[in-house]
Amino acid sequence: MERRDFLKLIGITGAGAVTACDAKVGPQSLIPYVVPPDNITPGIPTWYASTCRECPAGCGTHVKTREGRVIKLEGNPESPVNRGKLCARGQAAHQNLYDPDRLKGPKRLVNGEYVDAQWEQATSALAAELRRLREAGGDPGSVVLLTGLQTGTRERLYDEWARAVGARRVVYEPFAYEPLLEANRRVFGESVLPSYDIEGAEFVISFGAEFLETWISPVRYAVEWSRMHAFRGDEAVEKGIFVAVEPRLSMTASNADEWVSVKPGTEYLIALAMANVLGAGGEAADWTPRRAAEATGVDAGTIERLAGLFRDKRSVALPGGISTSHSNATAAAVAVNLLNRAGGAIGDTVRFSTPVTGAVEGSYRAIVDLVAAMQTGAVKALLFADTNPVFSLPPALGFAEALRQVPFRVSFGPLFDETGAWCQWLLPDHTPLESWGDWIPQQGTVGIQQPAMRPVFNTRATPDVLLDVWRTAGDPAAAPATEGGWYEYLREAWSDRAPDERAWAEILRAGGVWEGAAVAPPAGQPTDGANLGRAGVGAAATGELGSGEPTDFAPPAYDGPSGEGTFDLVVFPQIALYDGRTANRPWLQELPDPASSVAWQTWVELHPEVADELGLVDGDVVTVESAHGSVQAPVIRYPGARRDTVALPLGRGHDRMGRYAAGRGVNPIALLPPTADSASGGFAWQGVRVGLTKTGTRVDPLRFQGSDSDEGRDLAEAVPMAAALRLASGEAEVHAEEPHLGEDIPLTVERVARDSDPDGPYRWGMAISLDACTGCNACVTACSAENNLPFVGPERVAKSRFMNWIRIERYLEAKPGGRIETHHLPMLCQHCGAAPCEPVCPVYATYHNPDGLNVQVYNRCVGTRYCSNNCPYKVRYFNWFQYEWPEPLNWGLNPDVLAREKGVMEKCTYCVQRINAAKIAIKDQGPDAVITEGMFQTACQQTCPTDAIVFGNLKDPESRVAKLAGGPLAYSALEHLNTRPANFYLKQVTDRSGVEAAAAEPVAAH
Amino acid sequence: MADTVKQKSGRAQAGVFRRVNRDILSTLQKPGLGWAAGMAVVLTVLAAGVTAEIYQIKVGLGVAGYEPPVMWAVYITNFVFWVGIAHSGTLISAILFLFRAQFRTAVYRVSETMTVFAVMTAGLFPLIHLGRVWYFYYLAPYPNERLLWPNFRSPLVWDFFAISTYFTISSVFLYVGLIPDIAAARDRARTKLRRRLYGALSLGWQGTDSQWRHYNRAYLFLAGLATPLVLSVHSVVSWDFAMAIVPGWHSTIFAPYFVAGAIFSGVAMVITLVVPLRKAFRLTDYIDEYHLDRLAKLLLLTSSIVFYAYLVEIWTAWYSGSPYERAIFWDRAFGQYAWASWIMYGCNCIIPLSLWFKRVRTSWFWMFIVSIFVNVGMWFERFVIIIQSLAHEFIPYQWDYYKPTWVEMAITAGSFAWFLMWFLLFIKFLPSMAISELKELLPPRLRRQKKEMEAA
Repeated sequence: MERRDFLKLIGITGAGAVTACDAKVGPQSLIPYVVPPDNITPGIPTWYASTCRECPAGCGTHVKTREGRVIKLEGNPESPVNRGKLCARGQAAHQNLYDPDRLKGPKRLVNGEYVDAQWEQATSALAAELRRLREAGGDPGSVVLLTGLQTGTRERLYDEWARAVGARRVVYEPFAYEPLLEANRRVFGESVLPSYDIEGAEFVISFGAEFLETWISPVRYAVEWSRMHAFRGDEAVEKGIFVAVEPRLSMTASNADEWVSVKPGTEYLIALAMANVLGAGGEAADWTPRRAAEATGVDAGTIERLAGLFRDKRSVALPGGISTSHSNATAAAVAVNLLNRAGGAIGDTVRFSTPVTGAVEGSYRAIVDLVAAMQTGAVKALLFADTNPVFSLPPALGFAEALRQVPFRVSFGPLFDETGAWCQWLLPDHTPLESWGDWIPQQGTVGIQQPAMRPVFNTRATPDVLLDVWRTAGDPAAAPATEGGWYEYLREAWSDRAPDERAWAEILRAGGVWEGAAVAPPAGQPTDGANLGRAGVGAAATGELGSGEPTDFAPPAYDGPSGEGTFDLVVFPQIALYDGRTANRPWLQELPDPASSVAWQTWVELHPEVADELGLVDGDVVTVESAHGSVQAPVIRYPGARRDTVALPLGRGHDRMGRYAAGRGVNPIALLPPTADSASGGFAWQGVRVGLTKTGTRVDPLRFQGSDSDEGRDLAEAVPMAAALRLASGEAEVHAEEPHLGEDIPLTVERVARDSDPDGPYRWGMAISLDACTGCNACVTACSAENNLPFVGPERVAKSRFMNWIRIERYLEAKPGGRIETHHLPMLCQHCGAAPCEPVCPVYATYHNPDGLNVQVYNRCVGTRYCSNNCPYKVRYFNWFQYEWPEPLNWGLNPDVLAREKGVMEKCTYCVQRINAAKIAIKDQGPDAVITEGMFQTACQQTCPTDAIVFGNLKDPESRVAKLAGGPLAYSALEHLNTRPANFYLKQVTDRSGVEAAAAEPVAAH
Repeated sequence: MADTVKQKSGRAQAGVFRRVNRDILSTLQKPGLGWAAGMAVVLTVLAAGVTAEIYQIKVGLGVAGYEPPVMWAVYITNFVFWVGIAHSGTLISAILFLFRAQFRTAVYRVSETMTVFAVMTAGLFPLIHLGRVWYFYYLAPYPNERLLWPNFRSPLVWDFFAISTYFTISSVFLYVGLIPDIAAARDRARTKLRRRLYGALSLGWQGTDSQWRHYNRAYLFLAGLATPLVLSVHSVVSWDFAMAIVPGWHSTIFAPYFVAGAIFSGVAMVITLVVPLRKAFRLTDYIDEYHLDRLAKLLLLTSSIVFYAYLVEIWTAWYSGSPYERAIFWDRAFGQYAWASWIMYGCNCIIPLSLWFKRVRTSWFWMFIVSIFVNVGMWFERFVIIIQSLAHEFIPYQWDYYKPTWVEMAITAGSFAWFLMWFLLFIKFLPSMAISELKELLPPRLRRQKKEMEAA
């Protein structure tokens, strides 16, 4: 061939190849800006401080945006509520923003079908209807604005608007804690939620308050709990004790040093009897430990022992959750208040000076009244904002049927949910990440909410809509305070705190104002007892009840007959789904429940022995039937269930709301009667008796966990407190315990630190405290968000093909006396020094980098999966399919992390993109500059509310991780395999109250 | 054969040779309806398998039943199974050749072709099981601008070399053995095309004295070269498992145990193939109970070794004191995969015990049945070793139960069809018995019988 021919041939084939490629891909613009915005530099994230609105807790957030799109949320370290941490729901908040099933614009119902509408048209239609109603002279109750719990400026706007247009505002929140308010009013004369100082306490006893999951402000309490409770071995100081009294081993109870399993509805009797032991008079005087023991099935000695602890230590008792939602809920909460008062906690660990948001007085009572008004036809127009009552109210109440009597119905919900389906107008609000706003999580703390990006869809802030309606339909005498829109209204409301733009900018930077930041008072010095004022101090001093109203401590009324074959129903909120509002976020649907490790599914929790008696195994579908309804769901055997109860989680069972929520699981609210606690009017979630029938069908139980037990393998090690103290103080040798496999090859931090480039400055590693880990799974979602982890869906979860790079393994260990010890073991890539995955890869797709990281090269991987076989920790995840992100969920992908293609193995990278970003950041400081502690955190570490995960450089002996990993409680998982993992685990510390040591007395029969 | 020879004792040697030629080359005649029907079935199943594979490549490996932590499953089971099948071929053709075991003559061509086709089948599975099969060439050491080589520490790379070496040697060995027989086919070919084709393939074989001398020397050397491969290839395959730290895999016994298992399954496959072949092509005169009995004894020997290896494995697990090893073997016997384990123990250890009886060893029917059981049992051996071990590793959180899907079943069935397709083509196009070696056996026999007659 001639040279010219050769060149021609190359030219032709090359051009052909290029055109062939082009035809497929098409033209693409990389940076679409003509005039680039000021605050956007491609490749550099922009952060906005805001407030999380996934539940009423109001955690401060920092929202990370890249090129104008939100990609991650992190806690705001300045916020006194969450101190830089977020829970799984907060981490998934931008899946609400990018929910592909959001309403894309206003819609109206025409002839049974929703058609697109214009905002002007919608606003004027709404205004016209309201003006017509007002001018027709309807009574003020004929127009109702039904909202969820709101605080701050939005609440003010709602109220002012309602007054101006002649409407009535009704607040409905599913978890409204009315009994707590009523009990506080009765005992202390304050109808508020106090701050419970868990951090400052030495002994915490929770009566059904799932304060690590959903109760009031879970992130805040998890932070506090870990400071009170977590023993990391770095100092020889005895840590606090936590006891949970509740009928089900919830995630919170699984972190307790002692779970007192008690018959549902009788928890408060333990509190009363403890108060009795502590010398409380009044009604408590009748309830001796012996009498309470008979009613509750809890040993009298246990009650006395707990009372002794409460007296001897700085203590706090937490009322709430499932233990204060029977028909005698207020009495139950009063009992806990009496215990707090008798134990001297009021003004000390229970502080009324900084009340917190979360409760709504008379919420359920208001909705019952509303239903009555709707049924009579008195309600002419009903507007729903931030609430989904059709889903969260028991069908037996008849809310949906009563809606038929309301002629004009509008939903402001961003999703087409169960309530929206009843409305003629769907006027979607912005999601919180697109909105202005503020939130008051506790007195003196105001979080600001600012839009982190432009609205994804043609939505409009509900306050803006309401202001427009106000101007045209409202009473002309009461015009809105501003001519502008919602932002001006908000800015006006903040004019005191931010008189000029400088101050406003500072507030926006900080994410709010923290005037009353909760600083724990020194132990034993109640600083704010005086704030109790009125009844409180007097009551605390005299032992009299605050309001003087007598409280009836009779047992709750149970709905349905007792006897053979019936069970007490326990319905409980899950950490991921709360009351069901987050059900259309796929990461949260796929988050395994901490207790049952089930995802995507509603399950029926049964004690294994009961299941055996009924011949039921995991996945057998049963019908759970009460007098009010029935649901069908698969059984999951759980030793943390009582023999006399069945438990069902809330949050699933949506008919609508979107592709991830609709048709998944069942809603146990269908089983509940519309019963209320008579004293407070709060909804009685508990107290229903149900029957179980086997249906004969079986479904795949969508459990992540293979075996509940670690089969005696001691993967999650534990050490009694006494021994831990001896170790931490240097009195005992670390390796003096009984020898087991691998004892002859003690692994030191120094040895692991050598598993990287000898001349390099880094060997990254982790110290993970099993004593701090609560199993809350916040790290899992944080990792998903940071590293673009796909959700795989229920069919693939059934085949264990989940992709969570970090997972919380939960092992139950049976202890003498029927006690159950729960171990939470966060498992992620160990970045072993002698990694078994590395030599077996035929193509060097996984190898060791100079920083000691075990790196996975996606582009090189051919997918032999040998590495996963050879990984003893089983932390490698394979892309079985090309996982898709429906538009616009893909907008939330982190551009610093590659999205993997099918056929490729992936795993934890120790957030290598953050390591590299830090390296780039120090580059201009000279060749010897090294990354120092705190320059960056991994996503899991950053969000962990209990600081269970500490990441850092093992080569730096001064780093926190090196110190903890070199501490007395550190051990390596499967150490005998000599993989030299870079993750050191710090043993869980058990038996703090010396129960086990004293083993003579049996605890908690159940 | 003794009968045959008796009948022909009076005939001239040339006549006998001619008959051998005719009998064996008759298999090369125009295919009958039976052959065509068989081929049709085989091609249909193969098409189903190919369709499943295309579907799998398009959608992703997730269409197979993989359930983490079971990351290897039926495909690797099939790979080891087919490599194992290949082994007895080389054993019979090479090692038994070196040991001058004359019973091999009648069956060695069948087993040798089986070797080549089984390796061709086995070689597909490492590709089928890849997540990104379109990058399979990353496993080969080829020069590239990134200066990237495969990882020579990985047993999968050893596999790559072992399998490709084995395929090369065994196909050359097969071909060299075929040369005089192809020449015989050439001489009897009726069509011009066949004459040319066989003429080219026989490399101008004339049967001269010097050609025979060179041929015999070459064959001997090749047999010597192939012999270590019998041991090495399956040892390397076993190291895929033994080099991993998976309890139930990480064991020094794996190499000998896999080699014995391979020969065991290969002999069973030879019997499975020879029994119908002998009937279909009326070769009963050449393969008789004598050969069957010898094969059965080989089967019994290797079954005993495999049985022993199972016992040693269990004992080692117990003696190690490692809770992980113990748990694996407890779970193997009584856990969720117990059904598969007991198929394996039953088919590989218990049923072959019947071979202690001569009546079974010399019964075509019973030997066929036993060989089928052994084939099934050995497939399940690999299934149990791979899947059950992976399903029950160190971390109880990650214990799971794997079930194959239709895709894996279709591809597995397709692999049998692929193997049979080559085999059917082979018996129609090349002599399925070693004509020249059969002839070599005749003269001494004739002499012996002559002596016997004289004595009578």
